Amino acid sequence: MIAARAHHGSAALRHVVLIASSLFILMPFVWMVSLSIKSPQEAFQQTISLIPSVFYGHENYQRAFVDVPLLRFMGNGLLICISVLVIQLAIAAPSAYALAKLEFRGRDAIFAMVLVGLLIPHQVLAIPLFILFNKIGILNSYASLILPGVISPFGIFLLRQFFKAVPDDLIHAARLDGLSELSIVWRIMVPSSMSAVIAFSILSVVSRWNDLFLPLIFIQDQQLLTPPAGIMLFRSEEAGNSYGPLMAAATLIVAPLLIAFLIAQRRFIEGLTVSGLK
Amino acid sequence: MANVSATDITKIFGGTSVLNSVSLDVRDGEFLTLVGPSGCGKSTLLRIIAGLERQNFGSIAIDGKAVDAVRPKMRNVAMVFQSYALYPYMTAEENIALPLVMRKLTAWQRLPLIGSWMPGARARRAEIAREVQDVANALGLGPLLSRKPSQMSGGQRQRVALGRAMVRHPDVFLMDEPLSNLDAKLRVQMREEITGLHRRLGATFIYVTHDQAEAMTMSDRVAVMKSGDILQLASPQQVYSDPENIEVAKFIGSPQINLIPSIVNEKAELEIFDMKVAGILPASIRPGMSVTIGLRPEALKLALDDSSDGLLAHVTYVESLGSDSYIHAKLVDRTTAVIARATPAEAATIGNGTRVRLRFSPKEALIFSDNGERLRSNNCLPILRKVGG
Ligand SMILES: Nc1ncnc2c1ncn2[C@@H]1O[C@H](COP(=O)(O)OP(=O)(O)OP(=O)(O)O)[C@@H](O)[C@H]1O
Ligand SMILES: [Mg+2]
Repeated sequence: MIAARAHHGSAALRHVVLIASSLFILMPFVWMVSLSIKSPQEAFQQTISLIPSVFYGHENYQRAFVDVPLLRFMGNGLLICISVLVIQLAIAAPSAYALAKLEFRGRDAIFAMVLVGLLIPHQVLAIPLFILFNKIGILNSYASLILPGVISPFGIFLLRQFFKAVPDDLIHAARLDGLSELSIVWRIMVPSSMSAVIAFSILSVVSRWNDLFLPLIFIQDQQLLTPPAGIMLFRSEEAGNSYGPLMAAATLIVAPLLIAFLIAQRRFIEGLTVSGLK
Repeated sequence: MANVSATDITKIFGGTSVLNSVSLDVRDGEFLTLVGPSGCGKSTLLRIIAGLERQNFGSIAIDGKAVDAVRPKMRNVAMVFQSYALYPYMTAEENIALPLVMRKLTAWQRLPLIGSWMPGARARRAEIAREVQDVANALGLGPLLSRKPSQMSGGQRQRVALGRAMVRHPDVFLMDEPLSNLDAKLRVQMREEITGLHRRLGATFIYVTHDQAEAMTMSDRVAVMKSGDILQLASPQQVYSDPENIEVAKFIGSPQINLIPSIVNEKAELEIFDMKVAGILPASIRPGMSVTIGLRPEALKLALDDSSDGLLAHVTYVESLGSDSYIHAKLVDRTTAVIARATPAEAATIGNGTRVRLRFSPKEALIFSDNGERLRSNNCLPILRKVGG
């Protein structure tokens, strides 16, 4: 009895801590959604209330689309995220296969370099990239947003850990069945490590979709902006009274990510926890 | 169809030699078994024949042509792995079809979605589906084709792995302990199926196992390996009854062969404890040499009568298997353990601690020198005598 009660007690405590910390993390999002449906007057009131007295969402969301070309920004974001992801995977999967399963001289040294690559923050490379892009004339273009980061040390590392766990016999069988080394990557290794690929894809898309740094540095043309850089335009507009539309736009930007994450949640968590064990 | 020959194959892993200049000739259509304890290099040799691993020295020829520079898929060999190595996210049907898909479709035709619109792709796909169906029927896999490997039992996976090997009609089948993950009953059943398959296909089979019973029942010839050497290559009967050396004798046969220490006296007789055996030694053996006598359990005949000749022994344990009984006993030195086969009727009269005499015909004694070499006996008639008799 006592043991059971103690057990219940500790379980309750655990839940209280978890709920409190998740509320803490969720609060800004809830606040964002709340602001996006409030009128400007109410947004600046001193009292804290989540539910607005007058529902002003319609106006705010409409202005989010009208004041700035939000759909255009989202299209840009989608194009860039998908291009980056496709190139990242096209490079990371074969590299990871080579590092995990092929024997060649200098393999360990190359893997060490990948690990070093994990540690370099991409901001460090901004100035050299700016100069380089300027020289080859691709500043202020989609390419300048896509090319930095198409080689992902994290992607190579994560996939390599997963590929290492694929049994050698499977690769041997594939070689006998007539698969080339590249077919082995795409037909055997990638499908066998689908959770890792999905986890990596989500992380890659989220970080690129939300990235504010690259567009601010490389882009002048408003038509090429990505969503987070695009909604900065609300701020520079006249007085600071466009919080409502800004928050509405921010909500719209986060929504696709949330939906994608919820769909892939299980595989995503699988992917990251397994890699943590290895 | 093809014969396979390995010549002086040496494989070195990180400084240690795993195969020491192994040579092996497998005849066209033969069922040859590589048998030996764990780690003796059986799988390594098989992988080298398949081209999945490169030997450091030596050469592999298939059908008379050296294939050392030929990639695995061009060698026309198929392999069945101990772990089955089925593609986990593909159905049984897709697993079996893959070798054909890779061979019969062009890269364009293999593309997902648009591939089936490429000219000729549909006809080829239909042809592949037909061949997969044929193989599935031959193996009784029909109803399982749409299942994934995780939804099948070990025996069913084994069959799918066999099907994937069969579907491309290879000249040579390499099988690496394909039955070791199955339960005893299924293993016996699959033994029959695989030998039946070998007869039907007429292809060359090289079969790896560490189970000597599999080796004995399935093969045309058996190669007994140890620590990277082939100790003997002969028919199952011959490796059992006429082993080249003590390692082969020890590995083949269950229960293990009885090994009894012995000394050659001045009259060129063998002294085994209180027993003397004359006339079975080669003339070259000098007095004073110690040798080891190998006797199979069925070569030892039980005699209760204390006055008769034979090796004196104390029974320690009677193991009854129904049709046969194995009598475990210790010889007079109280350390040498032996096992004799007896009928249940004989065994019923014996209990732990019973003193028995174990008699044998000297013809059946295998004599090994101290370094394990077999010493073949002369043809003259042996004479058995009791000490002091
Ligand atoms: N890739 C490798 N790297 C280093 N050593 C290896 C490698 N593959 C095999 N070995 C070593 O070579 C030896 C022979 O291995 P192999 O797998 O051929 O044995 P086996 O006879 O098939 O044994 P088992 O019956 O256990 O399968 C072993 O000692 C093993 O440790
Ligand atoms: Mg093996």
